[in-house]
Formats: sequence, C-alpha cells, structure tokens
Amino acid sequence: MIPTPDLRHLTAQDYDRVYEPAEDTFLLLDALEADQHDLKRLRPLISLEIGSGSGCVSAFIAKILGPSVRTSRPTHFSPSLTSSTVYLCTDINPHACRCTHSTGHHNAAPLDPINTSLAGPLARRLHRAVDVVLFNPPYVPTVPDEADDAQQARGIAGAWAGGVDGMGVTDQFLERVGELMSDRGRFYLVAVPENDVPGIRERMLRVHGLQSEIVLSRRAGREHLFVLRFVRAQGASQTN
Amino acid sequence: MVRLITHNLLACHVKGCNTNNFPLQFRDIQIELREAEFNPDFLKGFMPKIEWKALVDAARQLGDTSLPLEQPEMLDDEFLKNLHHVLLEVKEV
Repeated sequence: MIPTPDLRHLTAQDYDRVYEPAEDTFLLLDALEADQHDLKRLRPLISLEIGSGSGCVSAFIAKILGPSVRTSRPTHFSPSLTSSTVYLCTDINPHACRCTHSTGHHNAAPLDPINTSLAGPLARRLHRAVDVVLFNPPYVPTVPDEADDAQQARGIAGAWAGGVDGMGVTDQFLERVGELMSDRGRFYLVAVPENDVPGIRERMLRVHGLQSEIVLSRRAGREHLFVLRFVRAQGASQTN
Repeated sequence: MVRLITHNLLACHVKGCNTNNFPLQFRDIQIELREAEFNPDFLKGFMPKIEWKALVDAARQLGDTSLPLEQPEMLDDEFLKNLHHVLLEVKEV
C-alpha cells in the first residue's frame, strides 16, 4: 500500500484556486498503484504530468518509483530528494505550479513545475523521450467557449471545464502525446463516458498507433470515471 | 524557479519563434541550492538527453564552471558529482 501524498500544507485558500484532489485523482492513484511493479521495472528517466494541480499524482508516482539506489546515509538525516527520475509537471495555472512545488517539497519528491499549457516548451526537447505521461484533464462537458475561456483565465475552472463532450483540451493533447512518448512509454488518461471512451481508443490506435486498455473504472456519485493506459502498438514504433 | 535539468529541456514555442529559441535566456539571476541524492546511474542514463553546450553555458552564467566544454568520454566520479550538482541541485530562482 503506497501512502497518499501528504497534502497538509495546502489550505482552503489554495483550494479556492487549485483543484483539490477528489475521486478522479484517487482513481488515477489507484491505477498507478496497481501498475507499480511494471512502473518500477520500466525505470523511467522522464515522467511528465500535464495539469499537475496540487501535485498529488506526481508526488505519488515518485513514491512508487522511489530512489533507484539506496544510499548508506544514516536514517536520522532528513530524507533528501531522490533523483532516479525527472518529474516534470506542467500546469497553466501559476498557483497550481506553486502548490505542485510545495507538495514535492513536503513529500521528498523532486517535482519540477513548469507554468505552461499542455507540454508547451517541452515538446521539442522531449520528442519521444517521455517514459510516463499522466493527464487528468478537464473532462467535464460544458458549452463550447467555456473550456477556452477557462484555460485563458488560468484559474481553477481550467481544471474541469472541458467544452464540447469534455474534450476541448484533451483533444489538443491527444494529437501530440504520441510525439512525446518514448518507445517504451506509457500514457495514463482519466476520462468519463461523455468523452466517448471507445471513440478515443479507436482513434488513438488508428491515427497515432497507440493501443489502450481501460485499467480501472469506478462510479463516484454522478460520475463514472475511467483510467485508460496507452502504449505503442506492436510494429507502430517507427511512425510519427 | 527552475533547475538546470529542466532549463535544458525548455525551448521557446511561441508561434514564429523559429530561431534562437533554445535555450531560454536567464533574466535577473538568483540562485538557490538544494541537496539531492547522488545517483550515478540516473546521470549516465540522462546524459544522452542533455544539450551539452546549453548546459555548460547555463551553469557558467550561474557561476559554476565545474563542467568541461566537451562532454567527456570517461565518466569518472568527480565529473558525475559535478554534473549531479549542476543538473539537480542548482536552481535559478
């Protein structure tokens, strides 16, 4: 059992501006925990979370992966930051970047927040270099302009307002994620039925050569939540 | 507020910014140091991803001249410790 990251440093004022971890967050944590052995075997060099918000998810995967080398440092020293993986965390909301940073600090996880939309300035240098991609997107269907407006406002609504079918933001990233994933990379995405999960999976395989599985699903109140995991389809690693 | 490992991965992606878009330039430099656990295996694995000249230049701008101008072929402990410090412990704030 991997403990949920310590978020006691975040306050009600923070959660006025940044999405507070909820059922969708915890479902993603559970999916990562279920995959913990595969994730450790993968020994990722680079993990990239899009829309890291509180930083809870990246701090959690850092706990899973941990230090790849045990030091002989005496235990009475405070734990120093581990460095077996780089945990890049983007968020369009500047306050979310501050929360991600402090969550990393409080969990001995070296999270590197970058205040940008999606993969933004990382896309060029991370071409086919990312071993783990994590995205709990704004998936709630809204009127069309609401997703764009929320992204431009760079506030908390950007964490949920998803536009038509809740796919306004997610679709932009799905077009690019294949260029970021390394050949052994895996991509975890949270989705709801309104996003058309079968349609996403079919399109990602047909257009981008990424095959997927539904690794976890759960009902939480009115929401039915899914976690999808994408990997490169066999024989598709030379496209893109 | 960026560690040099992150700085080395950032390129300007503004539309039309097609030249001179990597690395990003520092402005009003201040530095913070934070200890990180030394992991030679990670460093060796990450070496191929580094744009070496950009890293050395960035480190020098921040006052650290410990890295050689050319990426060395022999990765001895002293080199790896310097690389570790520059990549993971120096933060531009």
